[in-house]
Amino acid sequence: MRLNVNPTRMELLNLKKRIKIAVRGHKLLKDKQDELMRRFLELIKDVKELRLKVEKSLNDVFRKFACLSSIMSEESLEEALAMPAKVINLNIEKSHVMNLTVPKYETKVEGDIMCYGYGDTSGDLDLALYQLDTILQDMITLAQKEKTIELLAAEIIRTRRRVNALEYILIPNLEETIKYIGMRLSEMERSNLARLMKLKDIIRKH
Amino acid sequence: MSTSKKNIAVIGDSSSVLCFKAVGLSVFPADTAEDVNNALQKVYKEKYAIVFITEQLKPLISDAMAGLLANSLISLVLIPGSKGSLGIGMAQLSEIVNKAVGVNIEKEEKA
Repeated sequence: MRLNVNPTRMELLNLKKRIKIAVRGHKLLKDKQDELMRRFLELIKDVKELRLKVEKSLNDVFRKFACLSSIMSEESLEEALAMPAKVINLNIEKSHVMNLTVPKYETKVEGDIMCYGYGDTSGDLDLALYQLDTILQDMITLAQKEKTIELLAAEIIRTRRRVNALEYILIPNLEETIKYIGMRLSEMERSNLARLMKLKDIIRKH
Repeated sequence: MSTSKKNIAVIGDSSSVLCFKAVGLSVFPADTAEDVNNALQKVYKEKYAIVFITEQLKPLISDAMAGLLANSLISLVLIPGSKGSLGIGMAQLSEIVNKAVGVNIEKEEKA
């Protein structure tokens, strides 16, 4: 579609400037998109593996807990876990991927998971809790990577829209308008020349 | 680079989340949509950075809450509940990939 501008030399110059910027922007955005995609694909494989691993171990832990609740009464299980001694503090650092801010978690652990007496609890509880404790780090890494992936995906979609808008709408429109103005100007020049020649003829006859 | 201390929250049915209490996470037992959204509201306002939520509760999260969390730096992670995995977490991951890449990569890998 041609832009709605006057076919003047000044507009032509302006449009030429604009198309230069648009092409440059398009190249930059395209590069950004490629880089985002590269990082995204790199991460996605990791995350899938990690998620499978975490889901598998969590299911394992839940199964152990289900077995436990058949050995121990629900009250004594709740009682044993009622006062956790372990505290996890999460340090968040913000790191940057391209223009995105992604979280980076670092854990600081205080205390031990053993917060109950050994007397009235089953030994399986210790094992289940130890297993849960070991997958916790994986879960936190998973959280970090999944958030990064979500943010990256949103940015990729946004960037792709921009790249496409430039590539298929703005740049072709500008090109078409520049061509139109150029043709219009040369046509005016030709008609002017023809008029001048005609005038010259008329004057010479007199 | 700014750093801040934050906590981790777990939302799920009481039998699933009980065990997380012992390893030092904040636990919010929830069964109804209201419980879930109240817990998320609390998580959003207070200093939590990661929310683990069981897959069973995923459909109960209101759209407004999901949008709020998506725009913040809080990561919402689906975990299987005590009743087993529904595969929603994996499916969600694949959906994100499809949207971003534009094609289904896994199918191509298999082909």
